[in-house]
Amino acid sequence: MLPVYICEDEPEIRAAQREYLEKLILIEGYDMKIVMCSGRPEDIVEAVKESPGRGIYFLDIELKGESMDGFGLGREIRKLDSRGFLIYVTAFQDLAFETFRYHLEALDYIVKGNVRKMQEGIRRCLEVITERMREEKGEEREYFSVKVMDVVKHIPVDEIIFFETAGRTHRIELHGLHDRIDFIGSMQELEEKLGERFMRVHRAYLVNVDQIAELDLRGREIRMKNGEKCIFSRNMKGALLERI
Amino acid sequence: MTFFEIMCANILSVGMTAIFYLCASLLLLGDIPYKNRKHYYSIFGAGMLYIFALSLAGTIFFKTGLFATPHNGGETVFDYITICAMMLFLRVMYEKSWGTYLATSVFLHIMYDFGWNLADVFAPNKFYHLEHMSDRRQYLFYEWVVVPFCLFLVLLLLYKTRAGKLFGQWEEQKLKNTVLVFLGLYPVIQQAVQEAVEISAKDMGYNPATAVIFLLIIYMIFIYTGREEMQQRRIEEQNISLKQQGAYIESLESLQREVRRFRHDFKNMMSGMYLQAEEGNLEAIQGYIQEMTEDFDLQVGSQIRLMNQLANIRVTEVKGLFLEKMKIMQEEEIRWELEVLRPFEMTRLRSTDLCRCLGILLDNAIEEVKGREDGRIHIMISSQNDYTTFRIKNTLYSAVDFHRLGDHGYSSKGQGRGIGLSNYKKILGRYERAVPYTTIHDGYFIQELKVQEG
Repeated sequence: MLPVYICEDEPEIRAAQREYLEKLILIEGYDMKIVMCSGRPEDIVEAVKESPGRGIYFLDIELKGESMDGFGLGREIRKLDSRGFLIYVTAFQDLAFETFRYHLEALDYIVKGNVRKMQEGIRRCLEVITERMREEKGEEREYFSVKVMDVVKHIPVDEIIFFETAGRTHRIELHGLHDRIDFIGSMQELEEKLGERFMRVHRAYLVNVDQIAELDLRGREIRMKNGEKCIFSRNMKGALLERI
Repeated sequence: MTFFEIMCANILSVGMTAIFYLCASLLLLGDIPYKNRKHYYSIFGAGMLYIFALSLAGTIFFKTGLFATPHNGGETVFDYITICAMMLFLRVMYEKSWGTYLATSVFLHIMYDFGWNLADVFAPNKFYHLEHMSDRRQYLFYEWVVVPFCLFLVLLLLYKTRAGKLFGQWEEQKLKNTVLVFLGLYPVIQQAVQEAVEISAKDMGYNPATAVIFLLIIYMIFIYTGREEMQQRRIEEQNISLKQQGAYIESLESLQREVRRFRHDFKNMMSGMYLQAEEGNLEAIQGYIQEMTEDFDLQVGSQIRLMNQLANIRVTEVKGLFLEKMKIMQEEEIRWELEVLRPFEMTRLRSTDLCRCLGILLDNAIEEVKGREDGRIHIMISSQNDYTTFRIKNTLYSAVDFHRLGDHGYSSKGQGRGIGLSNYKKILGRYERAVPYTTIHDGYFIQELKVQEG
């Protein structure tokens, strides 16, 4: 069962949200339950602390007279529940949703002030959440997580082409099918972490073996499936030929 | 004395000099970047090499009698060797331009001379007869206590006057060639000034006045160029604020137009509502009210919002850039949004570099969506704790050969392009704490630039 939290400082809207949510959960038979409905962000944080786990959060952005705003509250919640669903309820003008999505991985936002639209938004969100939960059950894709300064990026391991070190810095560049990420790290640690599927073919390259298209033995070059090229050191030739 | 003895003595004294240079360059240029063991090893190695090479050069100069050439020619050449060696050493430590290395080396050299001259004040009789025990003791005391003490005083002076900060500012405004040439001529000019000041000092090789005069001149250059720069900055800032006011007025005018249009609709709606109210049709009235608030938000709210976001950009140069691009995007009728949740006040990147980077990313985005009906650009600037994120997202139409992105001369937009992103990478390469991130997601091309501020 997913716990549902509501944080909204205007009592009427809070009541309207609660009423509609309860109705919806009942009608659609969702496996959810409203556990906290408050105007104070601290209450929400306390409640999450008491029963940790994945939850659904409907949060107001502007909380007048409170110690934190919706963004701060989102941060606190993320510390406790990294996989929960954050939905922001807001008036149109103060919306900066991309920023919220970027830092908090917020799911969606709902514009308040118009009851019909708000209800529609809530319904849509619950649908998306159940859909996503279903999808997650089926998926067993392995992800490589990397911390880039203050955010963590997740890239499917099978989409990584290779890692490359750059110059004298401790910086590593990840070449992915759809991503290009610079981060600080050590090749050796990566090598240990990623295991068999990746091969250190050169001091500067850690290659995903599944992504290798062909070898140019004379030029000591590997051509990857997406057309990228990297070199390999002489003593890796035997090991490489063995693997492909 | 044998070659070996001189070499040993030289290694000791060059070692002391090297320590002084190291401390002073730390004071001037700040922390060493890339704090890892490998880098420390290479700095240590370079230091050792520096000491050894200079000692060797000094010994050879001494043995071959090069130091005794007229007009201190040998010493001047040796000064240049020192400066060059110092530049190479700085190159190992920091990642700056050659101009900076030169300026720093010469400056350090001057400070070193200054320290020596200071020490001279404490030792009036410059000639020691080393065969006498008392003279030798004096000499050793002078060489190993007084000189280091004076050099330490110089370091203290550098530290107390926060010379590093001034130096950093100076370095930031791109060193001018004339200044560099002047600095590079220091050993020669020093000698010339010296000979002019005191003809008899020709063969002795040092005079406190020269270093002081040179220092004064440099100080004046600092002040002068600094002021010039400040003026330029002020003019630029004024230009930007003018531009901003222009944009503001424009948006107010468009706001007014919207309000006028809205007023027109509003009247119509009111009369419609009035009719419904007469019939007692509550539902229709509710619908009307809803429609009205939405319209208002859409028509008038978005303009206000954009201005609010722009006001959160507090770095003048960046604001200027956005105002400029905003105009282009308006002309091209591109739909775009800007999100600056928290005020963006400052960043570690030099603002010219930041503007170039953002300019490249924005230009690319504009190029991509230009002329497309459903094209969108979304810009986010987010300052959170110790990090600033710049994120530019645009709808993607052309296929990007992802792995070639950023290679020089590659572009998804045909031949003769693609200088932008490779420049972008080059600029970022100069900063240790700024990383790019590129991804394609849900039909959007996303470019991110993250800077660690703390």
